[in-house]
Amino acid sequence: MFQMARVGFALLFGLTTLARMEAQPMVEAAAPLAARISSLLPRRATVSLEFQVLTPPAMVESSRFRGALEEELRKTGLDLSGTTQPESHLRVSVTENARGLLFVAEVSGKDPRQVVMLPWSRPLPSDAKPALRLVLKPVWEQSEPVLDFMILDSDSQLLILSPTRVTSLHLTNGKWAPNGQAFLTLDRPVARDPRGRLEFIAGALRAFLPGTTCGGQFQPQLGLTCSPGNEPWPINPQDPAPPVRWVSDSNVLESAGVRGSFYNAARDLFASSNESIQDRAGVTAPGTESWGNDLAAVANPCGSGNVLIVSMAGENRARDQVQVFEMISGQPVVRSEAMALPGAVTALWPAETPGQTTLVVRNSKTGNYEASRLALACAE
Amino acid sequence: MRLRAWLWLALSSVSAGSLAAGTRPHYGGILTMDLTGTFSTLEPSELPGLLSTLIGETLVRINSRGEFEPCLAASWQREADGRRWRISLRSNVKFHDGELLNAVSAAPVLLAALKRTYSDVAITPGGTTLVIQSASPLPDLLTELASPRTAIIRKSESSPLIGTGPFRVTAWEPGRRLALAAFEDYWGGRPFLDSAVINLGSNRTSADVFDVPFSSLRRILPEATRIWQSAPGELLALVAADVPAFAMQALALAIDRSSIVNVLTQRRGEPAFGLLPQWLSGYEFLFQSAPDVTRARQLASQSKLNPLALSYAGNDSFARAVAERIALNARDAGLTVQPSPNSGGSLRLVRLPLESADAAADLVILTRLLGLAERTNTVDVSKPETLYEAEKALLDSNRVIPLLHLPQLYALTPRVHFREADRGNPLILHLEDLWVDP
Repeated sequence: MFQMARVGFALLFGLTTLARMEAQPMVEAAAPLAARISSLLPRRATVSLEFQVLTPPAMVESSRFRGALEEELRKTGLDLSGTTQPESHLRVSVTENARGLLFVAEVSGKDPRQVVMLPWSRPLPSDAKPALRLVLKPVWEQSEPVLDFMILDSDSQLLILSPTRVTSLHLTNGKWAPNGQAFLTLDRPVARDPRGRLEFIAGALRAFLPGTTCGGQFQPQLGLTCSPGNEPWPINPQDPAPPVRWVSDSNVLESAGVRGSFYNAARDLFASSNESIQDRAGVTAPGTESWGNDLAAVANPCGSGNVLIVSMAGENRARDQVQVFEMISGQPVVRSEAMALPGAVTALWPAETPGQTTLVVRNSKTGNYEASRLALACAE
Repeated sequence: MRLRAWLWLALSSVSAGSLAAGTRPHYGGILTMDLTGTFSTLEPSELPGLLSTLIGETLVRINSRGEFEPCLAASWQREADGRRWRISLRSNVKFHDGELLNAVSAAPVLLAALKRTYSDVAITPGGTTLVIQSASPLPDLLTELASPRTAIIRKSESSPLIGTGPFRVTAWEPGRRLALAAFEDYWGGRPFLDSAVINLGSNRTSADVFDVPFSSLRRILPEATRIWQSAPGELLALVAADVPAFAMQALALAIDRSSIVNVLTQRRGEPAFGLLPQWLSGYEFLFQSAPDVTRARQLASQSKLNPLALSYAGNDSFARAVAERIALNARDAGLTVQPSPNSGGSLRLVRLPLESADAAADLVILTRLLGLAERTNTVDVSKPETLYEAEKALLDSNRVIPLLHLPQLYALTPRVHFREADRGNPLILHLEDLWVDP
């Protein structure tokens, strides 16, 4: 049985917002861009301003940026009042290149056109708004794959499982600060679609990866010792499913009494590696044709029993979505709106806290792995 | 101006086919690929981009944002004003024959490759560290280390090429057929495919994956085939030799790029007004201009001009079609342009591939390939204005007219899948990330 670390959502939400790698909001580019533009023009010059967006950021943000830029330009002494005969014409373009957003300002008038440019890190896409019942709480983001994570020790300790290490972060002044890491000695190279699972039972920390099992502790100091082999582990302590084990050099699981290999399992349903949702005997569950390869069971907070959070293909081919289903008489019944995600689901596991799941999505824009907690709330 | 959204890694469906969203990759299976082009050597620098990193790998690579990231090198340090670099190799990397990569095995091949660029360079191997040094600074060393020219490879009697990449060579018939097998001990994770067979010089459309050259865009593709399209990464341009500036300006104003894009590329290409495409530089729109035949005529009438011979590659039917259209546009402006497959004209129609998403490195390479001598060594990709100024100087020299930016097109049958979030070089299809239905 897992030792359950209680995680307060409010705390999580507050501190994890800080922990995310923030991009610069677009509106903050207004002041430095205005300073660069004003250096090309005499003070109090009359200027006509043209604004164009050549990349599709959110329209609200563009209009906020334009407002902020006009204000900053006025602060530098330029006259944007719109006289009929402005001395100079200023065209500001919001565009993008391979590295992110790029602001391009062209000043034309009596002199030849002058150009200034300001690169700006692309704002992260806004987090997917939870639908009526699914609530997404971002926890951590990094460029290296996140296979699994746990929040322990009264919400003060975050453990991140990556393909070659476990990183420990401690909550200090509202921010996650690294305080240790343990490298995993792998007998085989990491699989191309890396997967893994963390387990914390009675003070013992274990990490399960295809072909390797590691054991150790995270207090007083994080340390793990690894050995080749695929030891079994429970996919969910609340789930009656038998223990599972990884298949070496692959991204699939197997379990005694279950026909064939599978990607994930919940409530006796198995996301089979032949792309269907099956029972133990290999019989396809009707009505699950649109389901993806990941599913996790959570307690229904607004009723009895359990429901399933399921990954699915999204409307945008590069982005998955998740949706809640309840199995009634062997048939799936939709219990939530689908929640669009910013990329492909790379991990969906039951969390150490009841009622929550661990979700990792690879953001299709940034390429980063975004680790979140997914919970359910009652619809209004 | 309306800019195209990024098309790279986008699959435009010829018909609706299932994709891998929401599902995990399958391991196993054989993939067949037919390529219209051929090559007779497996040297990574001579291979098409699609294949150049499958067998041999470089110490560093350039990601989709144009940034250097570790590959066979785990880290690097620049010392002494760039005259000395300390490269730490990734541990537990194996060659296809099982030998471990270390500094001693990497140094000779790397030194031979770097000597082509830096004549006085020296490499001191030590354990898992390479110290690269030169009497003069090596500011662009990372660009060199990311080039297929510096791939860490070996050869033996039993194998034409031994590398550390995700696939190993199992059979090689020069110019005809290349067979690859998954390298089980690949440090980056075994490819999903078990093997791949690549047929060269083939115009068939029956393989799992085949390239779609622009000359055959009108060809009917098999039902349910989808097209994978890279970022526009090939520049089609006119390069001049001893053509008066006024004639080049007139020609630039006369050419109707949009009609070439719409008709000859079936809207798969993009009009080019800069050497670097908009997605890479972010400022190409600053060079944009609409065709202006009236102004072109005025310029062309400044002085009497002999007919201009326009050469293109004789085996490139797409280039021929573009050259003929340029000749028509030029005639409207009062210029006589005579397309010819023979080399040596005062105008050359050239197709130049971009190597990576590193805009500065691409500009340097394009400048060299175009035979232009402008200074591009001051560009700093983190300061787009320096890049813009360098490119503007090249264009203002009136020796090159960008025409089109072209993507790579590959047709994929429904059994082929990949995850769109896998972000490697946006200019190439990553075979190691493809998988097939069982």
